[in-house]
Amino acid sequence: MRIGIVSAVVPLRDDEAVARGVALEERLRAAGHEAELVLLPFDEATEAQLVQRAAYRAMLFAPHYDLVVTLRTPAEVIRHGRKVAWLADDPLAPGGEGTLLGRALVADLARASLVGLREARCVLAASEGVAEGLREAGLQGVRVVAPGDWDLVVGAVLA
Amino acid sequence: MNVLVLSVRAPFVHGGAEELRDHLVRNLNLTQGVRAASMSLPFSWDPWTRLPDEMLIARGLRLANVDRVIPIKFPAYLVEHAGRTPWLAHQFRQAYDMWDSGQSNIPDTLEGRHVRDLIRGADQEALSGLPRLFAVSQAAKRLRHYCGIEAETLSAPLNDPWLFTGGEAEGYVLAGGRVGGAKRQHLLVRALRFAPGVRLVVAGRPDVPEEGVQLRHLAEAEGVANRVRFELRFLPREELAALVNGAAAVAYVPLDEDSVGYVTMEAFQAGKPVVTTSDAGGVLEIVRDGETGWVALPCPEALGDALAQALADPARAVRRGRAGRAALDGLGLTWPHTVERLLA
Repeated sequence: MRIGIVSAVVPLRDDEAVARGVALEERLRAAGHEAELVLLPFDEATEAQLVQRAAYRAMLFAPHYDLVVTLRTPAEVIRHGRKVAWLADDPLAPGGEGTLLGRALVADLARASLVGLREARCVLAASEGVAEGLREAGLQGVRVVAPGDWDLVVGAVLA
Repeated sequence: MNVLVLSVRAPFVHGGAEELRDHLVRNLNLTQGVRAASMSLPFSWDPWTRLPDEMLIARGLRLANVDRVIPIKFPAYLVEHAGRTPWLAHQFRQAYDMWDSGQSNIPDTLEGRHVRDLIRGADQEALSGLPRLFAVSQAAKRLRHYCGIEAETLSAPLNDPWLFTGGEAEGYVLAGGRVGGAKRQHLLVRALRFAPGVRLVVAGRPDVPEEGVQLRHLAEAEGVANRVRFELRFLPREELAALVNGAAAVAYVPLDEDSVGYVTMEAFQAGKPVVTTSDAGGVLEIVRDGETGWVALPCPEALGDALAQALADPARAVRRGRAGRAALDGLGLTWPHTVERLLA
């Protein structure tokens, strides 16, 4: 199977997502699949996020990969008929301080992520805390799969 | 200084552009005060109607935490950033020379011409007026010809010259590089019918598995399968270098290559002559018929004759290989120089 592991990454900073992606890539290859890590540049500034989500959403993955695994948010908004999201952070967490417009934007970003997550055939959380947040936001069927337990991770991704 | 090398990807394809990207990052990281990484954006040019979306995607991305961005391919160089320093390995040639030669995937219709013009307009906007703009040789020429934009020519150096030590010729011609349509290994297989006794080793990973299957079938159909050895996989660099070092000559026949090409540089580094075709583009900057190799018309008969000549007179092949090495050395391509120019 041809598997794309997709993550948003702030260049030269997001070591956790890259390390998790590299480790997953190695495990999937060891399991006999073709796998590659696709890193998408990302700017965390709130005002930059909507246009970036639109750009991610417009990308075409389906013809090239049989399965995609998304890691760091907002990679979960990419389109694919067989998508697994594996989150180390909760993209649906309510926004904090800010103007009315700012809070509305944060809410819109969360809604966009929720659409992406609902499209996924499977949502995995890297910790119980993240899973709890996702469930509270209305996402059902979230499973906790911690990095390191690779048999469980690979099994959940390929299930 | 944080530097991001930005390219585009064809899934699971690893060729010259990917080598360039990876070694650029490695050499940037060897530079004091520089931290570098690379990213390759998904890019789908088929169907051609996707192209405007792909350009918009590039324009919608935002880059944080980097001081300098070095995009090397279309449409990565459309990404907005104040420190953008393109080093063009490719524009989207289907909108330029391949359009003119009827080889574009964009149809010559009203809609097709509109998309072509969108690409040209976006290139014009993104590449005009930049304080620093670099391109490999053929890309620089096309940029001048089609866009009226001047770029400093900067060719990619060989990445691991120490592996290509040369060695005794073991009686075969090596066809290296990734295996795909534009690299035309099929032309070499057909040429074998016109090169009696010549043995060919085709070594490289096919862009898609079907390419490899088709090549094997072609060798059977041409009746030359017993003279072709296929190593259709990703070869570790040491293994590839051993094949180059043991070759009598190296054959490299891409259609209008943008640069001299890694295959050519590896051959000349090892002191091996190169057999190519008269339509090979940048390869012809250094492969000269009768001096550093053989340049044949791009047809099986002529190419077969060139292959046969390359093996017929070992002493002549050695002389041309040595001349190739001298020509390569004369280009003065080194990574320290390249990095210095890009960060100037």
